Amino acid sequence: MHLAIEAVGLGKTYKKNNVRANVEINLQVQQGEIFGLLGPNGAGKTTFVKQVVGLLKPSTGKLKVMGEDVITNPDAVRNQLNYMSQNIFAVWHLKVREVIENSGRLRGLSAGEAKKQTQNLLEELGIEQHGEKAIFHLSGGLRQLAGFGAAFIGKPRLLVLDEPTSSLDVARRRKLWDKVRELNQKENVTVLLVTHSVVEAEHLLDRLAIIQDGKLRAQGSPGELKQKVDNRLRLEIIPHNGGLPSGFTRDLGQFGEVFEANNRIVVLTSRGTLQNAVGLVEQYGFDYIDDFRIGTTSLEDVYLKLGGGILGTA
Amino acid sequence: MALRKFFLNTWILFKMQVALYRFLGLFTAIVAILVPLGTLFLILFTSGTATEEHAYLLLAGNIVVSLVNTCITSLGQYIGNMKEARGFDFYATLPVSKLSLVFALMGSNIMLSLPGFIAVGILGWLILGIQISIGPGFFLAVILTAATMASIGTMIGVTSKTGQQANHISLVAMFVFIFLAPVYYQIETLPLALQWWGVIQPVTYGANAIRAAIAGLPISYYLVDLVILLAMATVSLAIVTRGIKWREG
Ligand SMILES: Nc1ncnc2c1ncn2[C@@H]1O[C@H](COP(=O)(O)OP(=O)(O)OP(=O)(O)O)[C@@H](O)[C@H]1O
Ligand SMILES: [Mg+2]
Repeated sequence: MHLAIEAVGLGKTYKKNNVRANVEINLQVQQGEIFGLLGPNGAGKTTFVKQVVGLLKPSTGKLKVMGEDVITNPDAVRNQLNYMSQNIFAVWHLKVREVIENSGRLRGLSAGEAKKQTQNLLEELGIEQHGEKAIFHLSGGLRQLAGFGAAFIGKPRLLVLDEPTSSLDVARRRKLWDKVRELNQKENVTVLLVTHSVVEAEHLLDRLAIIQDGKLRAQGSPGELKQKVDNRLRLEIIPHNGGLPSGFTRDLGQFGEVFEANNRIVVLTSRGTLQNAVGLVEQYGFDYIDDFRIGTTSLEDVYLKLGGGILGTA
Repeated sequence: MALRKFFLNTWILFKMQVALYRFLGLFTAIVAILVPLGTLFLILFTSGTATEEHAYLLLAGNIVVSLVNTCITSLGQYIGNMKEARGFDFYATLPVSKLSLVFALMGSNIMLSLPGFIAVGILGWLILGIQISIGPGFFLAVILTAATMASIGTMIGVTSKTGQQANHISLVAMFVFIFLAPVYYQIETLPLALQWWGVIQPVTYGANAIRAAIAGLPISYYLVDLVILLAMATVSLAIVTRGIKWREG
């Protein structure tokens, strides 16, 4: 069985500004897995995805999608994957129902089947009441859901989603993740997912890659990557509004690696020294903090360490 | 099977494109009517009353103007805007052929020039007192003319960097295809240089064929024009489908 996606030494340089957005990427996505692509803004995730779906021509290296060579045979790939376009400007004048249904028709569904699947999708995504509205009348989140409907219809073998939930509220976001998982499990759809919500991704992804500055930093299952980073414990401190007294963060440094993420201070520390770190928190007093917790390393830590830039040691 | 899918996809894309007029409908129709009517009036008022032959010349000219207006100007701008916004990405990842999309865009723009045709027909009858005959030859002439115009419009759209640039270029093109072409005049009355230019212009043959068709002449009278148009349409469509790039370099 061939791989769903296989990139070998893949490189993409934008000619107009000479930006090397993808550099020597070697990446394999197995069929049937949910594969995540994580990395900071401008890392080159969308660039990678656009090459996979045939919107961008790779500059160097090899790229095969569903066993077909994207560079020499881009048309063959189109029949096998559904891509959630972030740009539905071409159909902004169509009603949500029409966009989904016509996407299905263009992928070869019969009129009846397209109608049926569209109705189901509208219900599952909770946008049935918006079915008759034109795309340009919708909020960003609803547009995104319409785009998702258009991407899902026709039961793809490979589903490519570039930040599909960036404008969604929490409830809809969950619904969408549930749908992705259901698709993956029931229909054996392979999913390539670009996302910034690392925490949510941790529960969803089978494997992931972290990209930074166009280069692949790591690739593996969430567990493997966590192992790779460390098996230290994490102490997370949520400071009070006023911030922490000067020297606090520095003092924490003696107990392990300290960095800041989402306005929180994270200390990665070994089992033996955790006590001392907590002691320091007590010493400074609880007035300065809203909360603190102790846990094992999360995928977010891995992400921040490998791709997101480490702030604490800077 | 592949052919069936091609036509089906073209039809679906056409319907998706025509749906655009639900929102632009009235305003676009007004523009589509005004351009040919304006030119008709201009010429009538400056040249006085017309002989029957002259009248057919004017009416056919106006139908060509309608087509140039929608298939070059509107389509060129539309594609230019889409290109600027990378709007065609939506279609590029679907299993549809570029030619399907070009046909769909062309068809929807021919439709857009229909109100102009009707207005010209009615006015021709009211003011000039002539009746135009519409048969299969007429539709053939219109579709082939439109196809070459649409290819030019598409080419302008895809080679422009922005919608605005497409806008400017299509205005120039409109001038070239309407006023520097034997659309409103018989080719023999033009200066020699323009006569030569007229020979390589699709609108020359379009105007000839449409003129003969609305005058009710049998197809054999303008078969040569149709054949030349067909050749021009085929070549230009072939160039255009190569010119549209789904994939950025
Ligand atoms: N069409 C383009 N032309 C020129 N440079 C581009 C183009 N698209 C992206 N870039 C550049 O390539 C680099 C990678 O961009 P890309 O969009 O792939 O990042 P990303 O990881 O998707 O970021 P984000 O998380 O913000 O979506 C950036 O430096 C960006 O400025
Ligand atoms: Mg991106």
